[in-house]
Amino acid sequence: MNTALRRAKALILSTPVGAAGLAIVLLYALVALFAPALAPHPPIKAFADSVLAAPDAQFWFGTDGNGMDVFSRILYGARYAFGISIPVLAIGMVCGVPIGLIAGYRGGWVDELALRLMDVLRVFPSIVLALAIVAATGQTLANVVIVIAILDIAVFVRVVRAEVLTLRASGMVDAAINAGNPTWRILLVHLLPNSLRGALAQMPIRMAWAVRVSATLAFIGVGVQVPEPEWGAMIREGSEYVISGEWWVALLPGTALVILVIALSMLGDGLSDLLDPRRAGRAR
Amino acid sequence: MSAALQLDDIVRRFPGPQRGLFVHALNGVSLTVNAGETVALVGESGSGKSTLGRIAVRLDRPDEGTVTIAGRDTTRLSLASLRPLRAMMQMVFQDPWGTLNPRRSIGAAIEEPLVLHGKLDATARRATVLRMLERVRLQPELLTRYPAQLSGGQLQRVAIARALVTNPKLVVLDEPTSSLDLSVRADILQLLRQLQEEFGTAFLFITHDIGTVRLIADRIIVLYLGSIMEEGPATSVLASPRHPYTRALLSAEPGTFPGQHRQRIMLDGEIPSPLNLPPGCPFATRCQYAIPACANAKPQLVQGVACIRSREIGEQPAMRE
Repeated sequence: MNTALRRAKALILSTPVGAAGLAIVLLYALVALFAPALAPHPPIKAFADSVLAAPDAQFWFGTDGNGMDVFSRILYGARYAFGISIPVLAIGMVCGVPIGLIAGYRGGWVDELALRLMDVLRVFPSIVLALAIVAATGQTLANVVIVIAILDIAVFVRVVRAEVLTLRASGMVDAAINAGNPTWRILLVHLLPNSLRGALAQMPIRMAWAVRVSATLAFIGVGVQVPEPEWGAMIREGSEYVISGEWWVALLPGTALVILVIALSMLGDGLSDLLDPRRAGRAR
Repeated sequence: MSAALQLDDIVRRFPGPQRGLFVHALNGVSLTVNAGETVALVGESGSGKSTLGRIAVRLDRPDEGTVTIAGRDTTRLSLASLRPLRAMMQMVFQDPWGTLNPRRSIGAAIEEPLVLHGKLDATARRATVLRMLERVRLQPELLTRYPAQLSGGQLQRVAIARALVTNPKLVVLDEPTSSLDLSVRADILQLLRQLQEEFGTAFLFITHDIGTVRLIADRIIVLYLGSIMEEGPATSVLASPRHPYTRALLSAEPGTFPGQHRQRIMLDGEIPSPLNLPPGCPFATRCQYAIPACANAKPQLVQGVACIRSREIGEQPAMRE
């Protein structure tokens, strides 16, 4: 326990921003996990007699246009944020890392083909592309996840490929061939563990992006719909009341979203700092 | 007994900056490295010496010519069918830091070739690794360390142990000491000599450092723009170089004592582009002895020297003043 504490202290000292980001993200994760226990009201229960109630002792963050408790809905919304961004990250990495690995290792036309395919994904404005695909394939949560994940693949391909190329140039691939390694072993034992640094540093940043894009899609009205307690959908629903003075309906879920996105970005910054080989030097 | 390495008429060209243009890295190089012998391959950067080393252990393939390792023609073998042969041809790279997997322990790195060429069980492998570690004079406790915890000299010893652990017939050493301190360098060279006596391995030692050649080589091969200029026993080439390029190369070596200067032969003239080599002697553009005939045909290697004027030039030993 003592060592765990000391480690935590060392982490906070070496990257205070990253540690703060991590703390906030963990807090959100706990909220997502324990939302049913923490929420004072069911998230989709409409209180017909208190529609658009201002924040008070009963409804801490007020109620929305359907009379649902905004606070409870924000807590439940964390489940959507993680429920979308974690599978997005998983799919993006599971597809992107091997493609980047093989493209960097094989080079030649394989590399060229992979790069061109990724360029195709990158030239479209991501929101527009996601919008089009989700609108065309059907507005299910699974489709939203898959579309955002596909857009993420390009990022992981790029960072992993770049690191594989560096390892190639430093002679690690030649040395591995020289030692008698078969190709699969070069990829899995020698290249993979040494080319994940960039991908790891990207994880929180891509997660923040997934949270943002999924909320944007919901805000535009694609994907998750009211009455589901999703932040983007909540902001959409609340946006019409901002002018009439019921600011809490849109502003409070918006704040929850912004804080999570910023915290994830802070975590990403801290992680890149920690994983930076120049900073870590040659010591372990 | 067949030679450890035999290269016949090796040609290697790489795609150039435009379609149809090629970088002519090696232009018909033939050489032999006998069992237990150290051949130094010298030349300036861009002479093709590293490419030749990589072709010898088949990390690269020649466009023309044949590569024979211990009597086996490896020229046309695929990457997969070369695998079992790698135990007998090894390479020590210039930068040990970049070639060792930072996430694998020193013990795992040295053991890896044994695992992959799988003839020994775990106990025997461990014993071999420990013996190897002792041979390269590293403490056994380094086995569990990681590359980041070792010095450059120690890492190069690890790389040498890894190369020799399968008892290969041939080891190509590509400037193995150029990234090391001078004091460590002498140590490693001495170690290599000892190991060679012990294992009977043939070394192809790639270097541009004449001092290193003096310490280690039995024979010298001088490469310039992908062609052999001169070849011969180390003692005679060092004492009386016959090719003008070898003379210039040797004259660039710093003196042993401060203040002692050799007559440095300065080379004027352009190095021909490897994209477009002249039909004649590749060195003619920079050679102070060049005559018009030099530009006509590429001189063949005759009695160890590729120079049509070597006999006349040899009569002017006053070069060193």
